[in-house]
Amino acid sequence: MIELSAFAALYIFMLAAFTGYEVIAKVPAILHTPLMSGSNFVHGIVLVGAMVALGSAESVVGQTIGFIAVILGAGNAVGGYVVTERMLEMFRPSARDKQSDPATTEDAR
Amino acid sequence: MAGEYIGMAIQVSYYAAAFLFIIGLKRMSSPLTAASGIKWAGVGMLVATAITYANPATQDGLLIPQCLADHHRNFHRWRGGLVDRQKSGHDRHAADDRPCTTAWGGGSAAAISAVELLGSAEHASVFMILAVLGGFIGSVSFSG
Repeated sequence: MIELSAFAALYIFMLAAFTGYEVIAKVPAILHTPLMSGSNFVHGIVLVGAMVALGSAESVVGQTIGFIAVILGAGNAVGGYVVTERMLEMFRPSARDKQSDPATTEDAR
Repeated sequence: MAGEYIGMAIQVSYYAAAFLFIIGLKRMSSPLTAASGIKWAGVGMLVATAITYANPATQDGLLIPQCLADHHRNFHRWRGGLVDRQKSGHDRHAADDRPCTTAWGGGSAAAISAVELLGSAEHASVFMILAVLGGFIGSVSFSG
């Protein structure tokens, strides 16, 4: 296991913030809602922390709360994915649209 | 030696998951690639979850499978009751309810903080402050 100093963690925090800004800086307004939903799905990674917490809990109370955390985290991940995919279905061009109006897909670029 | 390899594999998997999340969000910034972006992020989530589940350090014996089995049994019992109520016409709108899972992650974070605070004797004060802050923010998120 590699140990991180406080300053190394600060560097990672700064680079992560910069990366996040660059990733979402030029998103068109129409995609703001799906992107927010996708970010909520990514937040489902808290499931990993919940599994670790459940695995390390020793008391019955701790295991119960850890189990609730796993259920909530899994619900967040699965629900976030399904909702985002359903939103993005609207952006998937159908075969009929492509035949009738090829300029539509060009405009989307 | 095997433990070192497992630890390294876990770290590499978490790194790959973070990379896939960033790629997925980046692809979601264009209408043409948005549909595939969520799939990339989904693969990242699967990788991180599977490697955590396979990690022997996170499994206290068969705790997680046991808990999941219990939950599965309880869920089917609850669902059976719900179907019976729908058939009898007492609860017609139950099938229209859609899950609102957006705040569940906050609740999960708050619960993780609670678990860590329960074993608080081992931790430093900075860790405790961060756990309390995490629990507070998670609770606010969950209530919203």
